[in-house]
Amino acid sequence: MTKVHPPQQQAIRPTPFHGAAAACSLTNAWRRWGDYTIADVYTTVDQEYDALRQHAGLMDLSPLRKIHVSGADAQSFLNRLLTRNVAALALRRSCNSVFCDDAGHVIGLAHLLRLNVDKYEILTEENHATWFWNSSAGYENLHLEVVTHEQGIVGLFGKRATDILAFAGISGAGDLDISAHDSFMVQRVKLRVMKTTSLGETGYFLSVDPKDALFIWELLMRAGQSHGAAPVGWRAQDICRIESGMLRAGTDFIGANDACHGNRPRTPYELGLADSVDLEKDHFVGLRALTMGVERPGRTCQVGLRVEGVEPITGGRILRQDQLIGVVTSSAWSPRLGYVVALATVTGGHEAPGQDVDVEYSTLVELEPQIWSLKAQIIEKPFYNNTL
Amino acid sequence: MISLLSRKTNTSDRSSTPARDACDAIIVGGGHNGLVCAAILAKSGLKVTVLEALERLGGMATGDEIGQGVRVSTCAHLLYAFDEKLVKNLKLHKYGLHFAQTRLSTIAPDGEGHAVHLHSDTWKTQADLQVFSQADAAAYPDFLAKMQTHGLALHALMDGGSSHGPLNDVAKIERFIELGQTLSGQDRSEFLRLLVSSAGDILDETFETELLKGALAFDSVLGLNTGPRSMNSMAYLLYRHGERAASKQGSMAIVAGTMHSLAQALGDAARAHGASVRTGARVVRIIVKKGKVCGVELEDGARVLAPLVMSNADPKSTYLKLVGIEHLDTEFCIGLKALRSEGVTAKMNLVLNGLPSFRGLTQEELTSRIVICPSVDFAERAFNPVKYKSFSHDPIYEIIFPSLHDAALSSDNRHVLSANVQYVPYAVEGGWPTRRTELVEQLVSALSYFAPDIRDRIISGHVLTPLEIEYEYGCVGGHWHHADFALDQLGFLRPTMGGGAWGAPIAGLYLCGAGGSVGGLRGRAGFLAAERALADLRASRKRGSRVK
Repeated sequence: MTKVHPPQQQAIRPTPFHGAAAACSLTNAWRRWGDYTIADVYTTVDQEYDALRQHAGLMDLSPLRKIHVSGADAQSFLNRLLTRNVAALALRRSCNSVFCDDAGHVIGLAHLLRLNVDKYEILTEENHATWFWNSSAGYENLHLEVVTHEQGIVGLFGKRATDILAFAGISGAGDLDISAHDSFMVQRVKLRVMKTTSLGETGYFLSVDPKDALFIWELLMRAGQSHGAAPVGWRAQDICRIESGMLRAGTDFIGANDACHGNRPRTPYELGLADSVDLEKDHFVGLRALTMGVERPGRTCQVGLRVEGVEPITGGRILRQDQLIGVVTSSAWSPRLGYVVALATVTGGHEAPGQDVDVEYSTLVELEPQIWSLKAQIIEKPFYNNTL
Repeated sequence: MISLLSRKTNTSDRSSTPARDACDAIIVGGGHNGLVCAAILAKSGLKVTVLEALERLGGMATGDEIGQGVRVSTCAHLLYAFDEKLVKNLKLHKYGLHFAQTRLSTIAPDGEGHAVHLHSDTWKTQADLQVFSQADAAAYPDFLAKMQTHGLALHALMDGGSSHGPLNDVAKIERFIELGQTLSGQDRSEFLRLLVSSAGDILDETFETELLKGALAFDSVLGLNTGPRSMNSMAYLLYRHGERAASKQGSMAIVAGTMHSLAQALGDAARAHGASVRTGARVVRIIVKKGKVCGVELEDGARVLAPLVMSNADPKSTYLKLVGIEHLDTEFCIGLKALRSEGVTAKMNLVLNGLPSFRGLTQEELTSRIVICPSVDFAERAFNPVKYKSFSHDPIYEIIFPSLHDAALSSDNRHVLSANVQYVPYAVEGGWPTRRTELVEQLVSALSYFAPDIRDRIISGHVLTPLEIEYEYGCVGGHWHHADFALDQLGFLRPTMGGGAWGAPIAGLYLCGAGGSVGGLRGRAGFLAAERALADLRASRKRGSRVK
């Protein structure tokens, strides 16, 4: 079978939902994500956060990279690529997984959907097409296709998400199990709905043909109006992400293929993703390294922090008895919890929750550098979970 | 002798799978390295089974009748530096290995009546060189001494690199560098310069006689897809001089009764130590479970189980065909695919009705190794076409007349000319079926310039292109050394980062052929792999007993 080559860097483009999203934006604040721009803030971060946590939030997730993997070798290929047992993934189900390089270091995080007996879709936040293509060499019946631009994805998350879908006429979607997905028709428009949990909320990923994107956005906005739903921009999403303890590649860890320094790549264990690694299944890339014990002396751990004060302290140095033990990778003031929460990388041995540490953080105050030393405590993740 | 492996594991394997056979170690392929490896493993008490696809042993070290009752070593024809310790340890002489000639000298004619003669006696060579250049004669012994010192240092690094594995931590790099301490401070920087240089440049700065430079440069490219002006071609010249220096018997021996005798002797030595050697048993799959090798599957579906598999097949065949990519990591596979493994050396065997006359050579001088490579530029020009899928119009040759040393090979004043010819590409523009006749014609007519009566003397003959070498001997690309010999494919980088003789990504699977550590008809690769596998076994047995 012929393989379509991964597309090269292209111009930054609007997502299929852009027209509708722009109409909702009062700030005209956009940011780049992959090949696209998405709304940074529509109205205010607080309003959007409240809508998501109390009612429902509508999010344009179209920039997610999508690759279709099909053919008789698709399962064997994915099983070798991902750390999860792909053979155990049932039809119309999905799972989270990580994928590693030969040395057992995490390259990225993926969400895998089984569309058919021998057809799968991989969703990733960053562009890993080259790695997938490199890994595909040698398979005879395998077809990889980047379909990022052929699909718009809108996320609908929050307590009222299920009600809104029913109200919008997408009946049956609410009955899906978590991680299940299926095709639905609404007013002769075909869409795929996947139920999942993310950002500490239960919700849905709706994948549509780009030409139907505006229609679906309008449909959901109208259905959501009476339920308090609102479009949620990237900034409010990121606060929810940190509260739910989700790691972001490139922010909380550096993918193995992007790291220049030899000690930067992380194993799934260091990132606390042991649950998604199945050491008992057939071979996958990195298995040998992981079973041989890549745990280096002074290995790191990913932990959660509760920090005093009200300001985010991303990039802050974590000290324990005046010794540097780590760095804050993501942080945000949590409106729900009423304190600053942070995701941090610390040296192994310092990960036990309940320990007190100091966070040293430097800012410019009228161009004068000022160093803040804040009290912090290592606490359990997730900080906040609305799905329980 | 007590087996190094616990018998318990074997019996449980046997009961779980309906297997035809089970043993401690399987050797996939009965090439010379496979047989050396088998003999050493069997000698240390393992129950070894050698599985050779063909009906005969030896791989490229083989010999056969090629018509008119004349026999010749069909593929490899000279032992440049077979490991003498192996000959002794495995008592190969007892099993029928005899040399018809050792310490062969080299003679290089220019086709215009002159010839440079490189004797095994340096001083004799120096005296002969006076005719060409006083300066070259003076420089020659120093040059040889330098090649020897740095060549030995390169061998130490390569053997060390093979046994240490990838240099991925500081301690290993330090140990690796210590291996280079055989050289003095000044020599060390010179060593590094030589490694990355082209043989052409180093020879140009040392000598002025083109014919001498050509004769010496020939050895920097023999068997390789490089020209004498290619970067780091000097490394291979050092390697060749190093292996000669390491081999006390000198170099370049002709095996009595063709290479077939070497294969037989190695096979008999392996059998004598208890190895079971099976021919006509083609392995189609290496069975891997949970990252560990557990045996092989034969063409007829039968399985032979063993916790240790030594593959004498080339790296690409071993991993990509026999193991399968589903058991391998991405970068490892990318590395293997990138391995340059296309050979450019053809073998030509001609049956002649008497000895031909070479311009500038006496009949006695035909007992030498005749190198047709009159200058560095001649070789470089011969190299150019293969880059573009074509063959040389003026190729370079290494010719011997085995029948002059071993009368039993022929009769009735018939002689056999055995030649390695470069450069003949693996894949030719237009395809070999249509261009083969043209190649044979070209090889003969180019040779006619140096030996005018050669065409009239040919009774019969045959030519093996790299494609045919691949077909006959099963090595992908038809390369003598399984993979090209360059700094990026040597030592711990051979065949690629993470998979050589010192331990493949599959536990219990080792490469024991030329692609795994070092090339050449030396038995060294088989020896290194066996040593490594035994060391790993001892280590795991030690760990096992500690756990108990």
